[in-house]
Amino acid sequence: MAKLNVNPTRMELANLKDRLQLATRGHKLLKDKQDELMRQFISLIRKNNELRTEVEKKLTDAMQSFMMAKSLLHESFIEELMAVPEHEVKLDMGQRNIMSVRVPTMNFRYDENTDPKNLQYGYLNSNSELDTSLAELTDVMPDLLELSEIEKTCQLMADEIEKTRRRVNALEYRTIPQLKETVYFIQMKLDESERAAITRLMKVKDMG
Amino acid sequence: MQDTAYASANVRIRVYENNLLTRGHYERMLSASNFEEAVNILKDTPYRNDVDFVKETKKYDELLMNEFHMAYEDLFSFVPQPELVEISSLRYSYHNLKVLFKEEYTGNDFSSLLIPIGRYPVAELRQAIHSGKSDVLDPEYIDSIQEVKQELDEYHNVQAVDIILDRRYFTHLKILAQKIGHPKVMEIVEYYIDLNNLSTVSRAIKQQRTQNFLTTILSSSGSIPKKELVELGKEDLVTAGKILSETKYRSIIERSIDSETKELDPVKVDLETDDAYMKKMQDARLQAFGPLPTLGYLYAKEIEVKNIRLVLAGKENGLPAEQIRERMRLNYGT
Repeated sequence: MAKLNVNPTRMELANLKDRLQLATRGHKLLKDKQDELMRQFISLIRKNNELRTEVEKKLTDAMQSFMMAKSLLHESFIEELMAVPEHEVKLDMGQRNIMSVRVPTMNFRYDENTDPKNLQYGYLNSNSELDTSLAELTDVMPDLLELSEIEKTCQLMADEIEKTRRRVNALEYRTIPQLKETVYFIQMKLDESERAAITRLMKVKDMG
Repeated sequence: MQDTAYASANVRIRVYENNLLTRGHYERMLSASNFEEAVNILKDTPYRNDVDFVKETKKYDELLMNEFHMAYEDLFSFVPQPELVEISSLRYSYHNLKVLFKEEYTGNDFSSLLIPIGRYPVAELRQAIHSGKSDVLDPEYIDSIQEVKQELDEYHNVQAVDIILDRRYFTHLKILAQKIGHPKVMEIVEYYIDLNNLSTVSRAIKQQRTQNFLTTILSSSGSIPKKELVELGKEDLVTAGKILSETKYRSIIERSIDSETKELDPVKVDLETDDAYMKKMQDARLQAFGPLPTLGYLYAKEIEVKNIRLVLAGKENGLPAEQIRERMRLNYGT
């Protein structure tokens, strides 16, 4: 391990000792942060996995019944039914802080008088399979939103974990050993020069 | 109009009927291993010209609509009473009205959704929506347009366009039948409205719609009184199935009831009503005179398009043949 390129002086030794202390404290804190991030990340990932399987299944079902409905109707009929959206949906975005990672929180906001499950459309140019698929798609929306929230959170946390891990590793395997070695080197050097001074003194006394 | 007035038109229609796809065509398409092979089978049918285009682009809707459009143009040109063809094409005219109203209301361009089928050109409908009057269109169109305009002015609810026009479509259909004045046509139109009302009721119950909604959406032009149907709206699917089995549509309803849950299944109602209407139309095959062969042929064409779309969509998405077959509608020919 390479030591730092410094002058072996007492002043430098004191500086390095301070830095070593700081690095050790920082390392401990970062390690704790990393552990906590990991803990939260793992539980989120687990939830994400469950939710994704569920949402994917629901979406596949909905798409399948939509395909069935579509295969019996002219495409323009369906597009016409949905050409003008009946409800207005607003998406509220907020922020939440997990271990200083800012993650998004999202919520749908409907007008007070609208019920998202009560879509009105003409029955003539639609069929009951379309009813089913629309109901299924409306159903999956809140889950889909939650999934996107969790996935984004996981992504942001994964970035943060990677950053933290790099810092922890840099401190653990580079900064701290380097500092320790340099401190040891200066200490040795200083001891050596002290011994050299004593020997010199003894020699001078002998000569006298 | 005398029944014999249709003689020459009916001869032509008989020739056209020979070009309709047969059960054999569908079976071969169903047993095809992929989409391309299924499309290839259309090569020995009147759809042959667009086969390569469909294989490249997979836009089979365009192919079906082209053929459909041509069939309507042709029939409008030689059938002695255009009202007769209009009975079948009215659905597309009303679809166009809906699109045009939505265009007018939102200012967006929905022209890609228009379907160029109908007795009157789309430009005429557009002009009528814009000005509220027309010298060309029948007064029934203007009545429908006025009703929607009034609703839009009062409540600004665009969804009402669909619902009002669906109801007006049935009223308009009945007026057309009255204009034709043939008892068989009247009967068929009434039957069609009844079947649609049955499907609407079953779907509305399944979606737990309010009775208010049913009152706006059901047509009063059928033979089952609208009040009875609206009353049915508050029952569940089991009771509704029981009550409806006591009407003259017993056989359709009984076939649409799920054997396990005893509930009326709206998906099956859709299929059974389509088939029942086709059975009614099949009588037309044995008629030499009168307006029925025209109606029969046009409905046969409609079902043909529906079935081809179903098979191609199924093949495109890799559905098993069995699942496609059970959704296929009854064929006009043998």
